[in-house]
Amino acid sequence: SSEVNTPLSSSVLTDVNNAKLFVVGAGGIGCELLKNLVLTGFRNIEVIDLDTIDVSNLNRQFLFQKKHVGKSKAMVAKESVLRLCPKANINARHDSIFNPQYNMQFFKQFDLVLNALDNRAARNHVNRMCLAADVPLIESGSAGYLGQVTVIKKSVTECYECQPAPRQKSFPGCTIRNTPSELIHCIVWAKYLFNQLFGEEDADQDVSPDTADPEAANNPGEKGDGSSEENNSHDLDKPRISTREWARECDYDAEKIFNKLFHTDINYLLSMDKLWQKRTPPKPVLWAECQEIQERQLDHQTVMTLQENARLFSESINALKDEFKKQGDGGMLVWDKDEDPAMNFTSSVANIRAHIFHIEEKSCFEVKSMAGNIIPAIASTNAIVAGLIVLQALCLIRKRFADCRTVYVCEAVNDTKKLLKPCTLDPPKRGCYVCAEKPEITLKLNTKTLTCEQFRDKILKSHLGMLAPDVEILDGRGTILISSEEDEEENQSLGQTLDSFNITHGSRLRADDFLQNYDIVVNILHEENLPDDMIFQVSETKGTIGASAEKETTPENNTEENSVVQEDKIEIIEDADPSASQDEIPRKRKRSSTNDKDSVLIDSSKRSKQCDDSVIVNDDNNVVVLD
Amino acid sequence: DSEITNEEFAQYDRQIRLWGLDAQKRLRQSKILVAGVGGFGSEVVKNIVLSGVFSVTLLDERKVCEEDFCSQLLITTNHVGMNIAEASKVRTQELNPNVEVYVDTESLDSKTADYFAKFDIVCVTRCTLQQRLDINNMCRKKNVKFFSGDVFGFYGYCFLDLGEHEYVEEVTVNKQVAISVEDGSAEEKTKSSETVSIKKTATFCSYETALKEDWKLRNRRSLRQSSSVFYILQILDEFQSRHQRLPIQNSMDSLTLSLIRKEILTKAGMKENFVSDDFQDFCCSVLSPVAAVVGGVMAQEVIKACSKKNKPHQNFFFFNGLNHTGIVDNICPK
Ligand SMILES: [Zn+2]
Repeated sequence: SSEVNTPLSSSVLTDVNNAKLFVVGAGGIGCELLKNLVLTGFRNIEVIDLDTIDVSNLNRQFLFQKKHVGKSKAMVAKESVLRLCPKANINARHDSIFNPQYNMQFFKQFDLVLNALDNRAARNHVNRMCLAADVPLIESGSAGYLGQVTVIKKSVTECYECQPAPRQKSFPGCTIRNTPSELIHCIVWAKYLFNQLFGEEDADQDVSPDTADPEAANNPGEKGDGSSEENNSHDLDKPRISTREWARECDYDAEKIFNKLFHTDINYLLSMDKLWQKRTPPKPVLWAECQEIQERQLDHQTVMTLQENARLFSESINALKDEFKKQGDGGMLVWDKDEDPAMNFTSSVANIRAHIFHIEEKSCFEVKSMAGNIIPAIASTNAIVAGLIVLQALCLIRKRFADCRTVYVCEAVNDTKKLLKPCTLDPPKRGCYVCAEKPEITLKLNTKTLTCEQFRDKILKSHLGMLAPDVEILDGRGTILISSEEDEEENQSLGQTLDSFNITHGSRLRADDFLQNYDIVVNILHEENLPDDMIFQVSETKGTIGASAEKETTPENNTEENSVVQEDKIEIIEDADPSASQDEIPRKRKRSSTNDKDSVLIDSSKRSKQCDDSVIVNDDNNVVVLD
Repeated sequence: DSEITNEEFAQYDRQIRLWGLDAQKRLRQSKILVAGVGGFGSEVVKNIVLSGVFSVTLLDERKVCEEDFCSQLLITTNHVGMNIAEASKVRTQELNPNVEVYVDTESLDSKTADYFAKFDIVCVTRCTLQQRLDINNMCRKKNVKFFSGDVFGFYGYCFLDLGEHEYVEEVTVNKQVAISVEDGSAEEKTKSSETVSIKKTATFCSYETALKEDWKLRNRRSLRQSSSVFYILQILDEFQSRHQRLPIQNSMDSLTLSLIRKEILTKAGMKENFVSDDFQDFCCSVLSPVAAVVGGVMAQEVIKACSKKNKPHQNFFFFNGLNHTGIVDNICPK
């Protein structure tokens, strides 16, 4: 085959043939990438993907056909690519990249890792594994017409986590429960309602009027003696009966549920009259008012009338009831945008609520985009991105690292005429809490109220992206605060507050994730007066970073909040793909992966990059987004 | 029947959310010709077939050769010696059963203006400059939208002549609505955004006209933003017209290419180093990732042209896979 005409020299071709690659993801970008790799001459490829093939993949994931729907992406991709090149040595794994068997040793066997992922959690994890194993990583993503490719090399370039994640879109609980002003608020509420009725019950997903709304302060809303059934059920401290129990008792009767949600509860909200002093008050509706004289076929592409939504509500709640009952005792449904009853339920509930609050309704099709966080995806963008990935890989194989670039795929060109815009790679960001030599972070939190469990879940796992952290108190005695080995039940300390372990202002902790080979020192600043709803703040004090615990820091004077995480603020965490949220990410781990397939989360609009023609790029075309 | 079925909806969901239902409906009425089904052509075919056009015709008289296995994604190793359009048919059909797939194994030169008039869009790849000029002019006469494109090693281009092209662009406008609260004591302003479709027209010139632009009139800034791939394409066209083949990776052809480079650039009044002096080491055969990039851009332009949605790139796209730069340039005498 050395006779074949090619623009690659024979020595480069030999290196290409011998290189060992790890492709993480066999979806939109992954399919294109695998094809390009084998055609270019790469022969040793491992590919991993936990996902199975869905019909909505077929417009771009060209290695799959209708007959493959439901099968493993990794396995089918392998078979399909082998038809192009039977002598390629491809190993496919239908598995989660978070599986501990893919440890540092595993990553070290590869010359190069190529990410073709669709969520930040997995990208963070692979980033850490590649830093630990010191293997170069090519990162990529696409969303609609936009795309991006970059190269990450330990100690030389920025790592994936050098740039902070864009803030999660979140809404205050009282907006969702009491005063929605946008359709998305109603959609979030509808998804909560789904879980309250059929899914995993979550105390953070209450759908009843929120009497603790600060806006309604001194206005308990209770009129008269407040002894009616409904009013008692709104008492947050001692709910007499859960929404689910109530629904079960009335056998999911569409009319009764409708009237409670859209009439009784709305009337209760109206009684909290402080809320409506500067807002248009909602208008309760009764089931009886929504009955149609003449039924026409429901059209998911157009905005439905209130009557049509009531019908869709009734149909979908009946379908969900049947499914739910099939699950038996203790069973539950998992919300999935691709399941029609769940989606119809969400759309009808959100639109009826929108109607009540004078918010513009949308079609089922549009509600699905918003509820499922669907990011549009097309074959051509993925093809372009995958081509750019292999060109970066060739730079690395040719040992021309200086030629590697971050490349943005734009939708249109501006005066620089660049549709594909290369920018030089940035060096590692000082103080990055992942790739710095000795990562360190300083947090303001209330040690008297924050529990070990909150510290582990909301800070170490959710904010710092750890999978299974061990935490030691740097008190000179090596006290273990949290152990990743123990079961939840055995970990007695989890419910206790930090101060019960003598963690106070100035304490230092070391959190360590064995799999990621990642540890970070956490400096604690005790703070009792955090703004409402916040459980911690990241404090970026130049003086504190790397300083000893004894050093006094006055938060008011020399700290600068650069990151805020709020408790009880609602996050849309639902991943588009239920299998990913269940298996790929271990249960209960709430990560900021809100996106659908193929997207990347690097917001270049926040950076001004030095581009090849020495033009500072900071224009709208360069905004590549997403997650 | 132009109603999109539920099955189609499920399959095209992710792209209908991008370009809308009207665009998808226009796509599924479009008839496309792809002449030249090498590595680059196969990328274009893949992307447009996946998008759900009405039909695609694969035209190529050539037989599958070893070199195709480095870039052509629609054939398998047991197709050696078979007509490449014929060999690509099965895989093309598998990509999307909704699309009619036709094969034509005759020569491109045998085709007349009436043949091209049967298509909404004609794409030519792996053809001579003369074929490009002739077919472009035939398409102009018949109001058929014309595309050409190709990949040479690390370099690639595509060209569009959509004639007088009408398209729709969506613009989001924000508006503020004032809502008076019932007792009149307060006023609430709610922001809402609205998407408005705007009709626009773009006028294209022919390939022949584009070649008449005098690059000496481009200023330094403009030249810095221009792509050398335009001249690499001309050098390769000249090589092909002299040798009736494209160059291969050997010292003889390298030398010839260097000489042609000097001639072409001198004739155009350009500095010789506008094209780097080692370009001939990187311009042979078709490099798969470059075909993917340029094929992706060209197919997206075909989709835009069929669906009459969004502003087309006017009128050349050039890609240099060595520095990862993709440039859209309007080359036309001013
Ligand atoms: Zn970093």
